[in-house]
Amino acid sequence: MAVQLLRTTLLLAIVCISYVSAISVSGSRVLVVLDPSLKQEDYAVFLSDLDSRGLDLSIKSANDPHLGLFEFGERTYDHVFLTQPPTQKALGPNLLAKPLLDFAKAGGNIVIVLNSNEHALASVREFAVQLDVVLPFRDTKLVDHFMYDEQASPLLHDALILDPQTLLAPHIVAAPEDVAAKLYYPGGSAFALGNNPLIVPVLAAPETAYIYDPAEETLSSDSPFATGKQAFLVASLQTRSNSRITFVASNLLFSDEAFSKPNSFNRAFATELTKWTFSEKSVLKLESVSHRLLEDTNTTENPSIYRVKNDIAYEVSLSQFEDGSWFPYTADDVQLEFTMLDPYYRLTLSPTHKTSTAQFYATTFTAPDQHGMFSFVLEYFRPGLTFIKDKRVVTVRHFGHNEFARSFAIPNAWPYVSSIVVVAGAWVVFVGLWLFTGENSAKKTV
Amino acid sequence: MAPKKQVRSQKNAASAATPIATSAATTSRTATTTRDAPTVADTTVIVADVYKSYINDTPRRLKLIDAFMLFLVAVGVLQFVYCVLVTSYPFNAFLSGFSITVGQFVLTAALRIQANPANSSQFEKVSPERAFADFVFGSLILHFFAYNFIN
Repeated sequence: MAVQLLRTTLLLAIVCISYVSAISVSGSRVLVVLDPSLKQEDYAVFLSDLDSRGLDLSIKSANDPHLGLFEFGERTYDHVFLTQPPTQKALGPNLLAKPLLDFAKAGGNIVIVLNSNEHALASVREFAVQLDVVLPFRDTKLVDHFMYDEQASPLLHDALILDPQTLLAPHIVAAPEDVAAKLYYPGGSAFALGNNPLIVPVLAAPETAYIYDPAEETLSSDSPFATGKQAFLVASLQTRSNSRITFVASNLLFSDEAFSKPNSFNRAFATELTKWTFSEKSVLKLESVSHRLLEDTNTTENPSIYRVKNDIAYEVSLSQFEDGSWFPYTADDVQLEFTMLDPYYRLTLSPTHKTSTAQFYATTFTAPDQHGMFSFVLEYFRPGLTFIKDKRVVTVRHFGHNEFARSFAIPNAWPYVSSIVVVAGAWVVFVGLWLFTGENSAKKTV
Repeated sequence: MAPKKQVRSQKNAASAATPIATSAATTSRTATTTRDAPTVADTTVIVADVYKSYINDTPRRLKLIDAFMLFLVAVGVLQFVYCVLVTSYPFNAFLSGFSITVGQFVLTAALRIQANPANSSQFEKVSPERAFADFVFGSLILHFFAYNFIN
């Protein structure tokens, strides 16, 4: 009995702990790959911020023999924060492109931070190319002769001061309300992006910036790797299975030094960026989906068959994960498609009521005059938000032979109906007259 | 009494018509160049003659049949006009209403052919009673289908 009680309380405690520590929908285990040459003290504020959010950090060096993303086919971590060691040639067998891709496929989230000097190692370069992110050549620098930091780099012009109002993805990092806030970029390169539609650029270089190679000892460049807004400093990517990957062009963006500069937005930027990448915000969930006949509220929900021209009511509810709990997600651009190969309807759902955790959306429509296999398709793909896709297949049958309107009920048909009655009546009269006047006919005498 | 009278008048009409016809033939043969195209007065005379002979010579039952057929044509035309000008929407209703008039017309015409005393030589095996029974049977089937089809 006592053992049973103990077990129950233990179980309850575990449930409570797991509920309280649900800072992210994917989990809280973070692997921080940090080479000893990058001093942990220089990133103390950033790391303590991560820790204070309830994440379970394991800080390891890339050549740690016990480092592994998978154990017995299961992910050993939920998120990876990967920096590039400037002193090493490679990251070791556990952090090659293949394990990193497998990790993302298995639902893990990854932050790749390039080094301000060496930039990227071959495995990371390969991983990035697979996602259509083109990393710069070694030892190149992003410079801007108009927006540089006069104190940090008076000569090289490679430390930039950026305006956070130009941030590109409000669902990932929203621009600060304080217009005086500055985003310090203390040096490093930038990368270019391919045509992968899943990539969401977060921070682009200023229009006057370009990438040059300091080894050539010249500040002008005939064919720069990328210029202006084609060079990106931070870009994110959400896979179709909703795991999130972020590329950051310089580790110095997260340094204590950048955090402590006047009016610095870097700390909030780092917090929001890691929150997004570790699925702590902008996560959507489809709470419920239902469809039924409109006129009849007693019918069972989600029937598998409808008839053409039925009035159908459709309702969904959406939740958004923010700061450890689910809230209603309200938007005016959620759409339903009623499709059979092509959409026959594309309807914008209107928000109706909300509960403490979910916002309900509803619409009604008349089934098209076409029978076949139709699907209710809800596709909500917005950059920076979890991709939502829901498909419910139903049969739409044609009218039964006894379901058409009777002619007696259609005023158009009344002349035809009455003509039949008149003809039949006249026929009866005719037959009567024939029989009763028959003896007067001339037929016998001819 | 009446049939005898009719027959007599028919015979009289026939005997009266022959001399006129022969005289007309002879006159036309003799004076083809002087004779012009028929005038309006001639046409009215002809129509009046036809009407008169129809009234006088047709048995009463055939007149009854003709009246019924005229009525069916009127109902059918009315429906067709309504269909063209207003709506053909419950098309089965139009088909049903229109075809009952057409079908009834055809059945009645068949009855008229068989009941016409002038044709009795061709229907030796079909007595007028049998023809009428056929007509009633066919009409009932037609009405049954019309009721079903109009829905």
